[in-house]
Amino acid sequence: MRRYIARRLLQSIPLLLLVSIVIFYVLRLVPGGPLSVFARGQTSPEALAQIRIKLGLDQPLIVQYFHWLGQTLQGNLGNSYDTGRPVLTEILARVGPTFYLIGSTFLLVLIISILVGVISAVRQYSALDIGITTFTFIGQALPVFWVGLVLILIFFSTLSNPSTGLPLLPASGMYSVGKPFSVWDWLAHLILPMVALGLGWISWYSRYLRASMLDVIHQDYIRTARAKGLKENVVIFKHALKNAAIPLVTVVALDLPTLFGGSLFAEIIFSWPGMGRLFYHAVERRDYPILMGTILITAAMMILANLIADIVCSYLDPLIRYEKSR
Amino acid sequence: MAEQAIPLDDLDYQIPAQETMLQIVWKNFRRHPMGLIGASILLLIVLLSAFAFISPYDPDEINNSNRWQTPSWHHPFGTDKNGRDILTRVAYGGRVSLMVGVLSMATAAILGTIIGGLAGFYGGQIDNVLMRLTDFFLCFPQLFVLLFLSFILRESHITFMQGGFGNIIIVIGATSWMTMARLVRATFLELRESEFVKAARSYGSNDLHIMVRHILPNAVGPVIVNSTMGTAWSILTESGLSFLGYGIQPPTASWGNMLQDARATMGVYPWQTIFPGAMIFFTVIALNYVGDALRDALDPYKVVGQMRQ
Repeated sequence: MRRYIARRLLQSIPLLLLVSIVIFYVLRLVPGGPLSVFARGQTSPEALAQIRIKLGLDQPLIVQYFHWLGQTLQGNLGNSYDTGRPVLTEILARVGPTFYLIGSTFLLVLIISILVGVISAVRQYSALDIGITTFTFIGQALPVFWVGLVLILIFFSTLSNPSTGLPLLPASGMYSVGKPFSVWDWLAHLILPMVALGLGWISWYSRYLRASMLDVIHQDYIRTARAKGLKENVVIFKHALKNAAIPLVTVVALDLPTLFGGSLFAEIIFSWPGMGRLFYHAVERRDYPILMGTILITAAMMILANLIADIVCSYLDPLIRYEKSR
Repeated sequence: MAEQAIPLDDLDYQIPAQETMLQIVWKNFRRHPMGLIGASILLLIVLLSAFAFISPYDPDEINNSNRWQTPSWHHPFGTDKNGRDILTRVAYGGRVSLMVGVLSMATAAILGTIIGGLAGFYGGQIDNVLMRLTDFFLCFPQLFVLLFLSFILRESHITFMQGGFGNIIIVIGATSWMTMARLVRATFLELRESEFVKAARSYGSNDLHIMVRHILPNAVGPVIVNSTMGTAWSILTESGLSFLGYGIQPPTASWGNMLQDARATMGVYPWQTIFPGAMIFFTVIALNYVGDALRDALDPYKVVGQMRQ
């Protein structure tokens, strides 16, 4: 297993290098290049030339790339053109909020979709199952940003807290600025973005889990488990769910990039101080170092997530574990 | 007594009426009420967009004295911040959104079929390289790549067609072919050693002929189902990109950029948000139901079983 992990980690190095080369060159191909951001102001041609030299943009591309690579390997991703602060500092400040949002959404999604998926598989074709299936179709057809807008419309613009007259739920930021820390305040800020982001995923995963539960439930070993007199709860949650959940882990890992993309909408609509918003503003402001940095770090995280999913999968499924150890 | 030949017509033998594959698929499809409802909703939305020109209003003309009208008989969906009739804009926007959905999915389907087909048919190094490429594309959040690519095209002042219509199609198509490639590859991998491929090779068919005429038809089912769902996904993606300001550029209406337009004032004039959003919702849910019904109707075991009966 350890060798397998090491091999996978080594394999990801050329992939990351390729990513960095592609992004670096594509960004430099854009007319105007990184300088265009400075050229928009009142900067004189002489000053521009100076900035060019200072940023190393007068060097050949290949030299620029290796310079950038050398710096990156030492943990220096350059400075943001916009704020002048180190890219790494900017990104690290944003990673936390994104993980907090995605992590809590994910937890909610998993809990709800496992419950919903199991219930609708166990009671296949009941009214409840049909209701749930319809709901999952609806949930999958709603764009994250539209759900976000409608939630704001309902819980921020329309409904208000009867005792204070303030909006029922806050619709921007991660916490109230200038107020002492309180768990309730953080939770209240989390609810709307979490629901907007999670709704589609709950639908998708409960459908998926329902299908794989139905596959498992009709197998012989489940009949055996029932025949030897186990309680239905134990049969469903211990014997059936464990096998039904294995394909879900792989799917989850493959979907992680999409979840990350969805969080970009949630972050923008709810002014959440995360990576998605950082990336979006970097695109708007042509902040090249931040662009490079966020893309690279996101790619690295995605590769890592896939690796973790593979490890979890092999932990859950002895057959896969056996194949990989060979 | 000489033996007499019995005329064939006198034999009590009837050739059973053969159903074509299309008939069987349609017969199976009809059994899905939700699939039928989905198809009808789609038809309605397509008709609405196709006959957008019936509207007495201009979709883009600004008329500030008429802004933010509540829904009424004159403006069933109300008007927006520039006094434009929202129903008209929704209909014209539907053209853009549906076309983007279909065309970018077609791009993705063609790309995916070529890449997956080559990888599955030739295997070995070609497969290895092409599948690494697929993994490479899969390891990014699609939205990040979309924003990045749209940014590059915009900065390079490359615009294909009105409102960046072509840009969106290319960009979405180029970032969503991976599932298709994997599906097609699986079919090719499975069938390249099969008897009928060997037979075709033995009478001298070349690789291209085998791929296109013999193997590809077997992948049509999954490709169609995936394309239906993929169209829904592309419409969602387009609306998202336009919402972020990197999709269809105003004044050309699309459902996504109408939502973007509405965002600032939606607390006061909610109908601006509700109608374009509902259009996206109904289109996507209808496509998903149709895709679901098609998956069932095109299930090869079912179809072949019924053809043999």
